[in-house]
Formats: sequence, structure tokens, C-alpha cells
Amino acid sequence: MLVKEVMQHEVHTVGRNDRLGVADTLMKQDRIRHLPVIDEDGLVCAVVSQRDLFRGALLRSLGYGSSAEDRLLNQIMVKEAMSADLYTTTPDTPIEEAARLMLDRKIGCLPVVKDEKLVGILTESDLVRVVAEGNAASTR
Amino acid sequence: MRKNIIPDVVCDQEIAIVARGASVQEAARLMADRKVSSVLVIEGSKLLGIFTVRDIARRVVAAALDPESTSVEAVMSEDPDTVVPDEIPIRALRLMQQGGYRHLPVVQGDKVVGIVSRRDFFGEEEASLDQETYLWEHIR
Repeated sequence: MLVKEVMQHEVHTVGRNDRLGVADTLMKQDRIRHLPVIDEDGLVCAVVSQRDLFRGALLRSLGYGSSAEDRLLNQIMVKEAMSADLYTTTPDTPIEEAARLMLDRKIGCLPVVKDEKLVGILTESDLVRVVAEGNAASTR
Repeated sequence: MRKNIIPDVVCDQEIAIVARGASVQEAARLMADRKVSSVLVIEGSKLLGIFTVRDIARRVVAAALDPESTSVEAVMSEDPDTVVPDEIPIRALRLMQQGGYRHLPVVQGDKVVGIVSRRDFFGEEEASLDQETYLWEHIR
């Protein structure tokens, strides 16, 4: 089974110059933990995680006060908090290979890129769905 | 700051449980149906292990195992750390951070009474842990 058969085709993204508050709102609304980040050329350049947002809370804990969380998240840009390393996969990659990349890099999702364009996202939840539906066996 | 894991962080949960003989596919179906990211593996009332979304990606799909013929017992994490219901939330969060996992069963005596995940912690507890980590890193 290939990544393109499992991935989500609709992907929420944020721009690298967006404020963290935008990412926070999207994650809370759609109950997602990762958002691909798009650069000025429209290419995926990073992933921002829920954990990166929590790092923003560090500032709060160092003296800003909890009531200032939203204001703080709207002062910090995505590019200041996002993970530096980017790992991607392609639509035609077998899901075992993609899962091994997640395993090796200790990451919970992979942006799916074709011809440099973001075409989907593969998450651990997508793999649960495949296993639950009994389709994973068809990969062997 | 919230005082106890139960009832302040989680309460009235319908815990996702499978028997030790269940297959990975059955466990994945339960996760998908309940929209949860972990199941507990039980024998009688005894907690044997925990099996998570991450385990499906890393121990099943990445290893190209057959979910239908692989027992959940073979790929679960055995004897997971647990907390008691009146555990202080920051201690549970610290345990998850130190252990590198996202779920923690809540056990009273021999009985599983809940499960708490990293996602249940927001705001003050995360900020406190970040502050603690930050201070340790700068003391060393």
C-alpha cells in the first residue's frame, strides 16, 4: 500500500510569517497536533507542532502571567518556534517506508510532497485507520 | 493549578480495553471507533500493558507485521508506569516527559480507573514543566 492511498489530501497549513496564535487556533479547532509551514515561495519548509506552541508557554511561565497567553502567541512568529528539521515523503512511497522514517526520526507526521508541492499529510492516525480496516496486509 | 488527576484532569471515562488475546487489528478498530489514541490490555482486572497509536506506526506498520494475526500482547508496552487518582498533575506530566510517552493509566489498587494523556494537560502544568526543564538546563 502506498502513501497516496492513505494520506489526507486536505491539509491545513500556516505561513512561516504567521503568528503562533493562528496555528494555535487551527490546532484547537481541528484537534490536530502538527501543521506544515509554507514559506514565501509556497513550498513546505517545516512542521510546527503542538509542542512548539507549548514552548511559547515557557515565556508565560517566566513572568508574563497566564492571562497573557493569547497575546504572547500573537507576538511570536511561526518561524521562531517551528522545528528546524523537515522530513517529507512522497505519494508513491510504501507506507512501511514512511512509518520507518517516522520511527527513525521520532516524528508523528510526514508532509507528502510531489514535484516540490505539498499534496497531503500522513499521520499516525492514518496508519491506525489502515490497520483497523484490514488493509495493511495488502502491503506485503 | 489543578489538584488531582481524577477528577480534575480526567473523569467519568469509558476506558478502551482489550483482552490479551486480541489482535492488533481489533485494538486498532477500537481506537478508530472510540477516537482514542491508546488501549489498555487487561487480563481479568489486571493491567498487562498499553498499546498506542504510535505503537501501530512503529511496531506494526514499520515492521510490516500482519495486524490480523499479530496479537496485541506481542507489540504492547508491558507493565507501563501508572499513577493513582489523587496524583498531582505536574508529577504525572513529569513522568510522561521523563519516560518519553504520552499516556499514563490511572490505577487504584489493582483496578484501572482511567487513563490520562499528554493532551489532557494544557496551560499551567505544561508551563510549569517547561519552566522546570528550562531551569534545570541552565543550572547544569
